[in-house]
Amino acid sequence: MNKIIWEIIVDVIILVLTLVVIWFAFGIQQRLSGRLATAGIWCILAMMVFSIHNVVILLESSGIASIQHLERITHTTFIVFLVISSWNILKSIREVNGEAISDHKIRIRKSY
Amino acid sequence: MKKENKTLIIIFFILVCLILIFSPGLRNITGKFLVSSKAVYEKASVSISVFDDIPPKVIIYYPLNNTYNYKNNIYLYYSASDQGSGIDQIWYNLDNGINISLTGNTTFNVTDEGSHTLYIFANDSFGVLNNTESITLFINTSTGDEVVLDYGGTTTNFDSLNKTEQETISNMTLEYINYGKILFNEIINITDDGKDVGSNPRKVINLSAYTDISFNRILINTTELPQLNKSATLRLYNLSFTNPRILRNGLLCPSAICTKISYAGGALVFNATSFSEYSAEETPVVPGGGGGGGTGAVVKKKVSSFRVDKNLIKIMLKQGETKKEFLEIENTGETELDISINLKDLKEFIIFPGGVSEYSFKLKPGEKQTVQLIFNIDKDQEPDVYSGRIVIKGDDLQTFVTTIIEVESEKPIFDIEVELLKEFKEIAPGEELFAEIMLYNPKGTGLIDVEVDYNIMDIGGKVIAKEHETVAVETKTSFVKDFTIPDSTKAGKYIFYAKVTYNGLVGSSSFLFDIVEKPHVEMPIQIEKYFYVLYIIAAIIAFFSILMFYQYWQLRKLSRSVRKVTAEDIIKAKNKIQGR
Repeated sequence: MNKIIWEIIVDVIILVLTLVVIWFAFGIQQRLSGRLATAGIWCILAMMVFSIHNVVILLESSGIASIQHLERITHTTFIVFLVISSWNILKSIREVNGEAISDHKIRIRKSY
Repeated sequence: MKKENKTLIIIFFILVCLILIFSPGLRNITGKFLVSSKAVYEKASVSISVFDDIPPKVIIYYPLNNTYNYKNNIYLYYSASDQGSGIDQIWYNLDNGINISLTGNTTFNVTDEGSHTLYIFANDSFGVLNNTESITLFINTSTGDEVVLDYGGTTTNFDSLNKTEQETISNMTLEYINYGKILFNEIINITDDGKDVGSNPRKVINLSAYTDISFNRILINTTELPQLNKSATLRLYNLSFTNPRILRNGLLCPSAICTKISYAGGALVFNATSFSEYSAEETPVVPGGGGGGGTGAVVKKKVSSFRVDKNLIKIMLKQGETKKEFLEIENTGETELDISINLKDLKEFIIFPGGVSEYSFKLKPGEKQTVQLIFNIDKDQEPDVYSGRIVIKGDDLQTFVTTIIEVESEKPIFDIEVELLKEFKEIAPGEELFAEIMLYNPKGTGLIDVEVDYNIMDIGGKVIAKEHETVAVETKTSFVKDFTIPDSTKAGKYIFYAKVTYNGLVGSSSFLFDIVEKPHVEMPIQIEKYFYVLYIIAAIIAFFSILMFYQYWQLRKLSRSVRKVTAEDIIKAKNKIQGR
């Protein structure tokens, strides 16, 4: 099996796992409300962009299309969305945990 | 197993099946059906309809997606084929203008300068249309003539010169960075060296074919490029001589023509007043004689050489006709030569005065002799083309005169003329040769079917390609024929010969052309395309979209009985655990 085939197989596996993450994230997001739900939406969007990024890489490695500029855009967008999602989670956790607000630390206890 | 899981598994299998069905490798499934039947009393009629849904294949050979500096008589060469029901109609238009039917290669005009798109359409007998073939050509009449060259380094950029600039090029340079350089010391008007391409007003200046800068050799064919026969400074690089001297056509270059400027680091620089073939050799040195052991003296080596005024004789004779041709042989060397001329395979058609087939004589240095060749064709000689070489020997030297004899019937009814489109004068094996064929019936005795034979053969008469066809002619017809040169053809001179036969009377015409080595083209690495990946991506995304939708649908049902978790719920849970 040549190198390209291996690359394609790995890219397909990553794509599948990304979509699994979206599936789970969607399930979680639908069960949440408020800022947590917003964080979930941004997380799903980030993963969707990441899956588009994967598709672009797949098209590239399979020789169908070369759209490297799109690859950079999706990569950047994914990170931006992930930052927004994390920020929303952080805000939500600060609302829950007063300590975190006072000493600027996030503490999530195992008992939760 | 839960109901939802069963549904998911079924969806998964459906998707896998879809991937397999649409996978390119599984598309062409062939099978055999064994049909057996018993005889029945009733008659049955079976009709089979074959439908051809593949559009005809159209290729536009010329013009190309290029800039042209002329507007009229632009050649249109194309081919159209359909493997199914056959071609029904072919037509073209320019810039989506009026459709014009095509019956063969033709020419067209454009009215304006600028970009023009030529579309060719073809449909087959089932009406399946190919409307995807087009080329975009750009007309700019101020563009300079096309210059064909393969030099680098400081070579003049001819592409950037317009027509006027091409007429006054100063410091024109041709350089091959490893081998040498020509820097012309005079203003050059290169457009005068352009050659017409067929009947087009377009000219091509082929520096690549008629100049050569290679190791220890600079050559300009001044017959083909007379404008370059000017004084120039020449450089020969990477020479390994200690003390080189300049040679012109293999002989020591006279000081009136060549002036050595310098020799350093293997680069010989010299001026030449006119052009020919220049090279260099080591200046011969012999040890000094007598006492004292001097540094040695230069000994002039006597050179033998001769020149023949022709290297090709092409002659057309009718059955029973006799014609004379002359060859002028000049001793250009410094020694007396015994010249002998051997007619080899052409003895049947050529004789020397006195009826002999071999002729010899002596030539002193600088002497010339004109030799008469009598071409004599027998009345019963079959009309055809006969070729061979006349071998001229002078001591150890030998040269050939390629000779082509076309024999026609005494009184042919039809006349034929063939012309190679100059653009295709040098063809590589595997490429196509385009020849313009013109058929005339001077008597104009109505529409007559004539037999036309085409042969492409080497100088030895070995046929490499041939074709036969019947053409209807009234008074005059012309068309372009294309022939593919077989891949295995060796480089060399070849003859294209066409003869028209009507009632056993033959008219013929031919031309000589060169088949050159196939240029080695470094092909880019072919990236294999795995189109089935598209199907896999689509299937995966479809599968997960269905899962998501299923999940959403489930959650909608749940939302009636279960409320969503909020941050407040987490605070409450936290307080509960802490016992507040």
